[in-house]
Amino acid sequence: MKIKINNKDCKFEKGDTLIQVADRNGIHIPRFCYHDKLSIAANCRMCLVEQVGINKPQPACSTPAIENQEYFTKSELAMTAQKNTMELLLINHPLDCPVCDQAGMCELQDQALMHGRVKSRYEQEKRVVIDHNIGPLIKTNMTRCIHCTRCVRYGEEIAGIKEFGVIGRGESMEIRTYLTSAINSPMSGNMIDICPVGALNAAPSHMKGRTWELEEVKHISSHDCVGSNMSLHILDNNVFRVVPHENKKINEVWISDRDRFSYEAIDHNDRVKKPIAKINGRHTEVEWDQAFDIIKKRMSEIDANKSAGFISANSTVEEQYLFQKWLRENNIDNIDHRVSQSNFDHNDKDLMSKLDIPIKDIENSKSILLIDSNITYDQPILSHKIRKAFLKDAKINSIHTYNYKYNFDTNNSLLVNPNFLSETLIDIVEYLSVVTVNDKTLKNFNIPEGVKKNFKGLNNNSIIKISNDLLINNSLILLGSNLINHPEFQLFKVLTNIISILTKSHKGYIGEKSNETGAWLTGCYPSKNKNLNLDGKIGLNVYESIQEKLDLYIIYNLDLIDFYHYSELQESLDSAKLVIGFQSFVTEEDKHYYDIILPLATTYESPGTFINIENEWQSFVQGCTPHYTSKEGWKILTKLRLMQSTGVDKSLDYIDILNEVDSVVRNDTLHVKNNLDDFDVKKISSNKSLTRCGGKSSYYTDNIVRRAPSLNLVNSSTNLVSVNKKTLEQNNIDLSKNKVIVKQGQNTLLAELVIDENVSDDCVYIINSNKEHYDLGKQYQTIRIENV
Amino acid sequence: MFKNYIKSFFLYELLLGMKVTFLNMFKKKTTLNYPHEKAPQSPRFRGLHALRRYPSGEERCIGCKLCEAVCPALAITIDTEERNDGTRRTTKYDIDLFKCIFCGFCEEACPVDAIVETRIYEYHFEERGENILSKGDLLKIGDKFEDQITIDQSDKAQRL
Ligand code: SF4
Ligand code: SF4
Ligand code: SF4
Ligand code: FES
Repeated sequence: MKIKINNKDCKFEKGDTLIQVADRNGIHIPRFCYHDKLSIAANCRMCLVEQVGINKPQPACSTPAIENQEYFTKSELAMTAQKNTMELLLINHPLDCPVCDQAGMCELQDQALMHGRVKSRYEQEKRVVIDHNIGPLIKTNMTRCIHCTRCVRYGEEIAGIKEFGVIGRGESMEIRTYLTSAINSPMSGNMIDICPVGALNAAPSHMKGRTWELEEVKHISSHDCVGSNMSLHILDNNVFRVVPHENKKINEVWISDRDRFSYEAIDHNDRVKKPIAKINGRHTEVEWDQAFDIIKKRMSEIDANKSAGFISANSTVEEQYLFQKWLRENNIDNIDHRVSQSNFDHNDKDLMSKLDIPIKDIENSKSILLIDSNITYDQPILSHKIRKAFLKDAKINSIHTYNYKYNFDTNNSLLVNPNFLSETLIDIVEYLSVVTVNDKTLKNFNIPEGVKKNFKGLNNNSIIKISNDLLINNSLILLGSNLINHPEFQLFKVLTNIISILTKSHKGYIGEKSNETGAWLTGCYPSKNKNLNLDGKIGLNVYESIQEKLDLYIIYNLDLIDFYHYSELQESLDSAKLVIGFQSFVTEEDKHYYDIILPLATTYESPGTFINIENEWQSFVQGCTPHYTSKEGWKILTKLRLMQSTGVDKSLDYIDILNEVDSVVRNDTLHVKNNLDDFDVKKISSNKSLTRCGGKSSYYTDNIVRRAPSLNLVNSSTNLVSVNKKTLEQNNIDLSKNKVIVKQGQNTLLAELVIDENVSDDCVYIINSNKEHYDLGKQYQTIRIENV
Repeated sequence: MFKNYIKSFFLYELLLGMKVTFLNMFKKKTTLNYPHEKAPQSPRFRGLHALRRYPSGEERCIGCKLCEAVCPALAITIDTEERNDGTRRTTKYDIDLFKCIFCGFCEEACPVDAIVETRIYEYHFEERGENILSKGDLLKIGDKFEDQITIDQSDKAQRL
């Protein structure tokens, strides 16, 4: 089908609006309220064009293209209409571009220049709108608002949390939060981008620079397993702000607030500015060469078998590859990245965090089961995809240990105590084993005896409903990232796998960190991998390494609280002969454990590659050069390799390393055998005592996010403890007081009590959002709660 | 032929020229006795820069950096910060007079008429570095010549 716009023939499909046809054909039509990811509001009237034969101009964003019609976007009629609209919009606009952060990238400026009148004829008073504080992330200046309602529609349609609304009409129309409350959505920052004017601006970069001074560098987010594409805006070798970069396959045009605002941590007080070495028991700043010499000398004094190295799964593929290579060249095999994992059973199974289907296909799933996933806050982009599926009428079910707030509705949700989660999953397997008994395609698959022996008859209706929904074609099971701390985490993965085989659904083990796939592929775990030319030695995993109290620990890009076995680690570090840290940030308390700390560039300051959960390799370049005297990880590690082993090519540069990683790692698909026959469920915990649960706050996930000041204002770091009423009564807690004491082992914490029915019975829900929570003890362990 | 001979013999062309010179002795003078006399200036004369203040004493410049962006000679360097009252002010405002080509674009771009070019064209430098006018220098020039600048600015406004 064809129409003519400005005498140009344009093809279109049924249902296309004029503006879509024009956009596809490179014909510019001015607009404010239209946004291709949002519904059509047609309230700004900027897109008026002429349709031949109709004497009134038509809004291009809401007028469907009609076969063989002719349109003009620049005719007399269209231009006057656009000019008049512009004049109307500017009547109440403060015209304060010189003090507005949007100036230079403002749609209103551009369109006023192209489609406006030269001179203003309006001389009366303008209206002023009072601003409300809507939180630390977005700075409002509502006098500039042109009421396009993009932000309102964004909240309703994309974020799924309705926060902004329109109040009043005409002259007194106002866009604001309903109860002068703060914005709470984990993707609220995108409103800044879609607002065509300067009414909504990023608060952290407010008034700090002008758009035309910035340089744009494409980057990949390092804070969740999605790998959102973003652009860093650089001003004077500092990250000035972060905006999304469109990637249709992954994040579309959105990013989470965590990705947007965590750059602020780069110059945090904890930043390691110079190499630090303990000389005669005191920490002294040293030069790089000196630090390297000390490392070389002291490492040679220590038995390689009594050494271990831990690297963050947030580090780049190149760093991970070089890290394990450096250690293995020094005969150190105790390498691991799974520091927040508590349990390492069933390691011979294929348990790498991954998603079977591309991220963009999540929205086409017909049924989704979430297993204890706080996905809306932990992986906002994945949650957005699930929301899209939900809007397409997919059935979303959830089995969780806390009634998480989602930005979609669930069909059935089942609240279970974390100690009974594996039992619940086995119940599902049991039910499925009955319904799929006649399924011919499954005749090669036997449910492992180890699972079968735990069958115990079904009596829960929700389980039946949830399982039935999974039998729908094109279903998906997602195992949440919070569970990584759970003692049965590995078991959950295997059970998820069994369920997915029985229901022929896709599965995803959602990883916590941005590059877990990379860490597996590059061999940052104690196992043999043929492509990496290891001679079959198997080292100790992180838990064993900590338990063994080794002599040398090397910690790469991790805070100590990142370790699940935090308290044991502290003891082991105390007794170790040498502790080397490659760190961007070290807190004052952690510093004394280290003998040498090398200042590491953050991901913003170094080039690299992340492999996201769908196995997509995404490389990025350096956003700015490393601050202070820190250096990029690949440089430090290459230098160490050159110093410590012979046979390393002296002329190694970044490109060589890229090529090496490419040839060694990229073609490697971890061939882990996935034979489930020998699988046995060890004793299932049926701990009836009070258990701590909660996982990590989404703004406390890694060493960068933790230190981002604005995000930390959102993440209220007060000590909150949520328990449901029944449990409180059973433990004889005085409900009239709002404080309680929680105890784990020797440690106690005074906390504010929240009576919360979203917590399952016999659970104390504490989200780890400050250091005290880690000092108290581990997640999923017994906890006591007492009156003050 | 003979006529030409007579003409050159009596230096006719020379006398013709001398006549012009001689007649000019009785005409009104067009040169000026600089520095005792000065040429009249247009209100749009583009001389030394100045930063202006409002009558309240508050500096006008809001650190929008439009002048920095428009300057074709890259002569202006600005650093800004947000002041406690929420407005943005410059912490550094330098103009390098060696680079400046006195095009007046900065004055043209300024939304608050903060940076202006005054009528001053007589200045010199003795030390290296004096060619860079800092924010303090510019404000001082502004304070000193504010009366003249006000007149010139209103004149310009009327002619818009
Ligand atoms: S705040 Fe921005 S996005 Fe929202 S209605 Fe106003 S102009 Fe539109
Ligand atoms: S007069 Fe022209 S060259 Fe000189 S500072 Fe202003 S804009 Fe730059
Ligand atoms: S002098 Fe004028 S144009 Fe230059 S920064 Fe100040 S206000 Fe902006
Ligand atoms: S873009 Fe068409 S009416 Fe706003």
